[in-house]
Amino acid sequence: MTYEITSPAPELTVAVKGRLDTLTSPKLESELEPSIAKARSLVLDLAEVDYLSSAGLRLLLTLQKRFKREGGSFALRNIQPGVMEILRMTGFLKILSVE
Amino acid sequence: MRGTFQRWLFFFVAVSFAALFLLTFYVQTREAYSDAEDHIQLRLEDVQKQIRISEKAALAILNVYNSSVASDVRTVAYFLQRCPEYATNSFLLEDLRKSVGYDEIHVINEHGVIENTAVNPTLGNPEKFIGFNLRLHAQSEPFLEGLKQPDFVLVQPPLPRGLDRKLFLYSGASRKDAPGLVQIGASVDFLESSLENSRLAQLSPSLRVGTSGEILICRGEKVIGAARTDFEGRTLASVGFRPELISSFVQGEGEFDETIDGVPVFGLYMQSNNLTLIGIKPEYEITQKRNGMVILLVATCLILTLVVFVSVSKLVQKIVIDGIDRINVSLGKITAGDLEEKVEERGSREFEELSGGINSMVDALKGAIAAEKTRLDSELDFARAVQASALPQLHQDPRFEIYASMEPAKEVGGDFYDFFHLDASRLAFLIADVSGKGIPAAMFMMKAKAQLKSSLLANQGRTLDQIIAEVNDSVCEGNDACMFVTVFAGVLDICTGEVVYVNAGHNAPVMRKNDGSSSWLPVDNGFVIGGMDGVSYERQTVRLEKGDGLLLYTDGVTEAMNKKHALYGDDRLIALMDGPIMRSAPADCILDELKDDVKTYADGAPQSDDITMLFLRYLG
Repeated sequence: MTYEITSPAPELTVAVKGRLDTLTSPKLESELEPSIAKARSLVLDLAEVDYLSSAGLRLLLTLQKRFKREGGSFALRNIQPGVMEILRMTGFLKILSVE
Repeated sequence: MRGTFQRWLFFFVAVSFAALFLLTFYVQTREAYSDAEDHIQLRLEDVQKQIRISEKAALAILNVYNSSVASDVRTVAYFLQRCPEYATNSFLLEDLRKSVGYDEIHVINEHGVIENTAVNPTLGNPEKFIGFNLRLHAQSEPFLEGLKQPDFVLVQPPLPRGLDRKLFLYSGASRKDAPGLVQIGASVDFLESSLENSRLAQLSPSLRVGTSGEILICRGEKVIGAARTDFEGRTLASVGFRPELISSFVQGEGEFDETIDGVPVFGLYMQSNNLTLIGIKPEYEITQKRNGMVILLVATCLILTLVVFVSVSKLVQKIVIDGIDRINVSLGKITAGDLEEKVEERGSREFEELSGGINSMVDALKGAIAAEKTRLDSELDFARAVQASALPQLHQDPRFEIYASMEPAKEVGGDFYDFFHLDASRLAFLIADVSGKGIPAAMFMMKAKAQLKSSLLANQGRTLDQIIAEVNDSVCEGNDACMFVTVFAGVLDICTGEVVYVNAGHNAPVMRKNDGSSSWLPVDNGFVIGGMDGVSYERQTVRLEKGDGLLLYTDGVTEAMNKKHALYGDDRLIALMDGPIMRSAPADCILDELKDDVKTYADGAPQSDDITMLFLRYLG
């Protein structure tokens, strides 16, 4: 998993590449923490994410709760079909914003 | 480490090189000046010797001259005895002067006063000499001795005469004709200058010091001899010596630095009789040899330094750094988890000790890990037993059959299933998958499972979707770790075959009809339980005919991977369930078939997720 900050905080946009699983999700979360702390909104570009495990879902849930609590906005964009299926099946699409 | 070592090595080598350079430069400079001093000193002494030799020769010439002057004055005294009229008549005396060839003849009475005189008109006026008293002048006083001694003869060395300080050689003798003295005098400027000229002419070739240095011979502040002819006749100040230096020249010997014609020179000076000898040598000539030496030294030292630097660097690389690198490679493997790796660096005693130390440390670590693993294993075994003891048991019922299995990927799992009677005619069944694995997932699972069961049992008057929503809200409470669980829960009416179900983010079950066809049970994709409170769920209904079955499973089945990391997939599951063997096989056989198929597909690839499945068949 690699990532690139395509737009800095406060309008933070991060393009993620690879798998979001048990190993990579906590890494992404801790490395993005300084940027997220300054962000008013966050958009995750998942164009190059082909797999999302339950740890990845947990990360999305954590971010969603955090931005909701702080009155910011959190959204996903460019979701691949496989990942979209996981989000649909687990009901995450009901609570997440997708651009 | 190599870089640090090289930097320090470079530093020390550079400092030693600089120190050596400065020392050599200093020693060579001192040596060069000392050589120059010796050289100039030697040349000065040579010149001094030659001047002495010349002076001796001049003195000899002067002696010869003096004795001829002495006999001349005696001759004049005898002549005046024979012809006394010359003593009194100034014209006669003038004739006599011309014929003996002297510049002056004085006839002095017994009181020491000049009575008659004859003087070379180009050198003085005779009238000024008449009446001149010899007693009144230091130069002429010694002649008064002749007034008392009849055989007195005195030849004075050339001295400035009392009248006008002109350099004269006087000679006197007692008069034979009357008491008194007769004196003859000659201007000796010509003598002095001719002596000096011949002396310097002899010296000139030896006034060079080295290629560009020279010796200046000075009388007072005037240069009278030098290798450079344009210096001759000039004053020291006009040649370029500073006044305080010029005044120190008269005080004997010493050395000095000066700039002559823009060229810095080093010099020595000394006094020789009434002459000052100054030897100078340009500094560039003095330092020429030193510079050659220093350049040679710098070149040699640079090459040597380079050789030392490269060889020591290579040696340290070979002896120390390569060994450390190899140990680091081994350590890298060990930290990556390969505790079987042995460090075998035996290049030196220190490395042997280090290798031994690391190996025994790893062995000790292995022992500790093994002991810890044994302890953990026993605890996990216990936890598994606790989980297993929570698995449901049902009495046989002819109206349905239900069977479930769970194979955790680790000792304890995050998946669970459950089934139990709500009342005599209703059977609740569910399957769930907790996010994450291991102990945290297992603990969360126990909580969710207990919550689901107690809420379902205490459901009186509420619909299944409301119950699930209530479970969600209570699981959300204090769920700081953001764990969640996907749940498919159904309630079978054993009398009618009607199944009410709610899906909370779980995989859609497979519906196997009694005619052998399999399809996905249509499900609403409700949100997972524990993710967010206040979520509502949708209740759905399906009627099972006699022989119809429902397969509930977790994604450990459909996402089982083979060695190429390809997923088992939904299609393969449907295809398997479509098979004829599934039509009448008992529920446990169906699950065994499915497990076998997943195992076959995985082909030895490790199981990464819990595999849990539940099969319910309605028998009517």
